[in-house]
Amino acid sequence: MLRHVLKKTLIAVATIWIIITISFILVHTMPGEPIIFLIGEEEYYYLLDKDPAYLEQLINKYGLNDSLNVQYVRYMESVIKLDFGESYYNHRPVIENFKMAAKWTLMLSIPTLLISSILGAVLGVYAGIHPGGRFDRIATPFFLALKTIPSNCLSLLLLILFAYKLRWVPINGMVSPGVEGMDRVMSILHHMVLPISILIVFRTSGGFMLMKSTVSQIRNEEYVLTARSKGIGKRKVLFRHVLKNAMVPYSTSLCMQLGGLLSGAMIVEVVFGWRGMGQMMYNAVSRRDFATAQFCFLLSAVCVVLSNLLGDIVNAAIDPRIREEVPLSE
Amino acid sequence: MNKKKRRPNTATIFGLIIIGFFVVVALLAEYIAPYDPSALGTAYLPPSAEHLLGTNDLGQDIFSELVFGTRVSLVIGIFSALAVTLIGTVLALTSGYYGGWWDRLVAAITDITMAIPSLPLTMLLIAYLQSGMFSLIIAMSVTAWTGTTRILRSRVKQICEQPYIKIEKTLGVRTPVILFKHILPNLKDILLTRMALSVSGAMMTESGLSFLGLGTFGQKSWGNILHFAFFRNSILRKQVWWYLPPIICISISVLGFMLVGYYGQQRAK
Repeated sequence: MLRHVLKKTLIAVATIWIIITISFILVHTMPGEPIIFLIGEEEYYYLLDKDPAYLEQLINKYGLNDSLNVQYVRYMESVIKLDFGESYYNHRPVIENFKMAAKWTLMLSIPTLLISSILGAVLGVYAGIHPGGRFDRIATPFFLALKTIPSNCLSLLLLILFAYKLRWVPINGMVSPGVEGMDRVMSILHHMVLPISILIVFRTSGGFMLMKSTVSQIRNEEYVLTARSKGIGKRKVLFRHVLKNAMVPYSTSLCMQLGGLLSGAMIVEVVFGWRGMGQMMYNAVSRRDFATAQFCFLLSAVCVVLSNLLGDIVNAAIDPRIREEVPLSE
Repeated sequence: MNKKKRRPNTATIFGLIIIGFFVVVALLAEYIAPYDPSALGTAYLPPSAEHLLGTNDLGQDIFSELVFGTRVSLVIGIFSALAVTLIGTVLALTSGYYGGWWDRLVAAITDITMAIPSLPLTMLLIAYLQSGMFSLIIAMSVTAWTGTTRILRSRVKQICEQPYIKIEKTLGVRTPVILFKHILPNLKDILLTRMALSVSGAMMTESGLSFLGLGTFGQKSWGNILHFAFFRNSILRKQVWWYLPPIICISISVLGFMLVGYYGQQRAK
């Protein structure tokens, strides 16, 4: 068990290191002067025109004249110290901007994860134990159809329906201006309803499909048949034998979804004007605010790697078959 | 196997019809579109006999835009899928056939790339690269090849275990002949279905990126049309004819490729 976890951790650390290296290489191999990526295009051309001496000074300050090795080590150091420079859009440290945005994103993504994981599991199990039943025949095509509609299209359609036509929810934003206390909370909740429902529907469809296929697969395993033929009741077989095994892939996928908590909702955030991490990355890319864009990339990559690691560990902890598999790693 | 192949299931046929329709529209765009999609005119016209779907904020004919958008969307989707499939096939063939350190390296690179979230990396690349159709295709393909590679690699390994490949190896048949004449044809079905899925995935990503305004410039894809419809407040103005058609086109074409991708393989079994 320990060896298994240790190995996975080492791989995760190596992956993170490679990701940081990729983002370093990106800055230095992309067409254009690296200084542009640090201070932004406008600033660069302005300084080039008006104050080349200061530009030179900046280049020295960021050490862009040093050899690549030196720069690489320095970049690594700054990443480890969580120093990601400042956003050239509002000249605040990227980390400060991140703290603001993360709060709003988590407000959307944590409830989404909780509700959709429960909903996906329950519906999936129900469809899985009655394959071909009435519920399965309705739910499966419904969730499959969801996969073919791009999220921007669905978000727009629902926005039009509920915000513009029915006027049940606000059109845009996160909170009505000028309200305090309890009213503010209610206003935020009111603004959250639609984006959160869309996210839940999308996430549930993934969980549903996974749970349904695992349960319907396990149902046909021989040990389930054996348990039934020993005279164990249907319900007991379901909970003791089927669900216990079906939880393994499901919990792994849940852990992996944790990695998307901060960055998984970009399009929904943009459509609804939600100032979270997705919006932050979107703005950074469209404003060519490279420091922020790079930070967002690093952050989401690290989150995904860590959550995959967590998935592996949880998996090994609950399923003894996996941790015995160490020699098969080849 | 061949007999079954001749009667593909309804879902596949349906998907093929959808794809065929859009391909024809894309090829004949010049003849179908009544106007030049970039020609300016009177803005915000409602649908009429002259302008089937009205005009946009610059007075461009929306129907013509859609017709030409088909070409942009399909080209991006298909070329990304081609790139993805090509990378995947080369890596899978060589790693599955040769095994050894190269195989381990490919497996490791695949694992690491899978751990990199694709949308953020794509967006980061778009920020660095000059915007255009080519960079968009590169940025989307960089992370999308992993799934295809994995599936093909395990298939290649299976095939390499077959007696005929082993016999050929012993007989000293040249490697390219084995790879391209005897292994590749066996991958045809998986390749085609994986490619259809890659196209639908690429078109979805593209529509998302273009919707955000990060896609192509100059050439408008469906996602771009939707971008302008959304950010120029077509919803507030109740211009259904502006925002709805691109949504329908994107969804239906993605559905077409998905149907072929998911059900296309079933006929081969």
